[in-house]
Amino acid sequence: MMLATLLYALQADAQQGAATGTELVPGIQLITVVRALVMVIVGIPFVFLLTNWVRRASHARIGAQFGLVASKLVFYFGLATLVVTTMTELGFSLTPLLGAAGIVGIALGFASQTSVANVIAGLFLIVERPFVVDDLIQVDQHMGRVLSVDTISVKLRTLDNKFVRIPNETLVKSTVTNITRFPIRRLDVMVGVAYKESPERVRSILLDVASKNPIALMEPEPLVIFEGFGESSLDLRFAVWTTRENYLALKNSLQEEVKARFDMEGIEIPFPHRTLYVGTESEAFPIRLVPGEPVTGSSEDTDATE
Amino acid sequence: MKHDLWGEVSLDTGTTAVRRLGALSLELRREPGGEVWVRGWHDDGGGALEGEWIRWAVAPGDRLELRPSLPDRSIVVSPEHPFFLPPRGRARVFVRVPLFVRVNSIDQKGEATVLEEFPTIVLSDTWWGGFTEGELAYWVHTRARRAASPEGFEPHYAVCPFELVNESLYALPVERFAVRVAYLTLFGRDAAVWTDEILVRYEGPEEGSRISYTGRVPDDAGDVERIVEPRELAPKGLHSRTFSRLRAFSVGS
Repeated sequence: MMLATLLYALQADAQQGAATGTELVPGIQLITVVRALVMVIVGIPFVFLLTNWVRRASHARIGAQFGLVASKLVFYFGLATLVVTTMTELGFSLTPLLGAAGIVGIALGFASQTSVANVIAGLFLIVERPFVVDDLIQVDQHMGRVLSVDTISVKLRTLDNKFVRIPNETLVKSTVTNITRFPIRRLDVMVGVAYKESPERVRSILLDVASKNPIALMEPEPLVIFEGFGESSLDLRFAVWTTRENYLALKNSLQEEVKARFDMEGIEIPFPHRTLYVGTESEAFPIRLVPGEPVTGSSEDTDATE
Repeated sequence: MKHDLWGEVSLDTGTTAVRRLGALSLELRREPGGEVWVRGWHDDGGGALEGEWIRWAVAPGDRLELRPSLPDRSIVVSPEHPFFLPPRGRARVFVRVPLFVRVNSIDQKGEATVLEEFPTIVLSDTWWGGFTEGELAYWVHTRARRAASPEGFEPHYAVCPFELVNESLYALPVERFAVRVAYLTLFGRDAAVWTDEILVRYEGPEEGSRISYTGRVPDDAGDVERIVEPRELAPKGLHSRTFSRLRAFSVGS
């Protein structure tokens, strides 16, 4: 209904200009079409150039994220201006178009509540800036580098190179962890040692390992925290700081060095123990060796097994 | 500069020169076509793998030279035995700063291009600042001597003299201090390498310190010549947070 009204209004408007000049199509003169074409041919590259210039200029001054938004605003505004100007040049009246756009807008508003919510959430994200382009973030089970913060969604590149699109509304409602916001990070390594080991000695060995690792920061100082008495081990938390760039390198090197040093110092890293008691807790599990013929495989045994 | 480590390295095609300084082993090789191969590795006594060769396609007639240089980041100096400087007190301290070896290529016009830099000992990283912002630096543990003793002169260390002046009304605990070595000049004589003197005027915990890189060595250095220019020019009237340490530390579980 609305579309029919709009088409009728545009057609009527175009027919009014049919009386004068050479007509390429009924109601539109050749010179008008040429002018409109020139506008499009010149206008589109101009909009792209302007967008690129705004992106470059704003990137340096207000950051990548705002630069991206500013350039998109310029792009859409430039494109809309070009469309309106070209249509006006071709003799289309915009009054019925704007009227119809109002009605369409209301209809679209009802139909696109989610999109509008995403746009508003996007504005919050841009103002609050919990992360910026190139930050490493985690949202629910998704972890990745931020590729762009757009009006509707945020795009991530995961560490295994997948593309993830997260709607802005989801981001505003979710807990977002920005992993690279601060320049230094703490690596926590859980270390379990046998009950026979001295926690003091283990502590001094761990601190020595940290001091010898060049990418482990001397300050903030490394820490060894006695977490508790585990089922099979004394549990220690070995907390060492490093720069965010060296986090993975430290994770690898430090744990390898701890293992090598424990082996050298004779410190036992125990595996889970289970002690079985039968009857009283002080007596060993009874085993009685019975002399007899050695067990050999027979067809009967095989059948029984099968 | 008479020490045989520093200066030009004459190298014919197909030959290799080996230098050892501190924990650093350095090899330079001249390949046909003027190509220069460089590699360095550190051995602190525990055995180390030889480093990877780095190839440089320099002009055939270019010469090679080794020059000392200061670390490529600021250093945080931690005295073995921290001390206090009383209000309105003044003290001169000598700190040994581990040097880097710079491999230069010298062209026909005599202009030097830095090919590689290697630290003579492996320095630990540290952080100077807070948890949310700061600066990555090297950690230098030192005796912070009060006099420049000859046993402190080793070819892979530069002696860095400090003049500390406490202009505040409070005792100044000298337990950590940061030095922007990029602003320092190197001076040399035989095995001894010196930096210019740093004058630090401490004004208080809130006010911070005023630091001057004097461009001069103290009289203790004797007759030395200027051998390496600073990496960066120091801004005039540098006002900085020099004495500090991280005090807050939260332990998450």
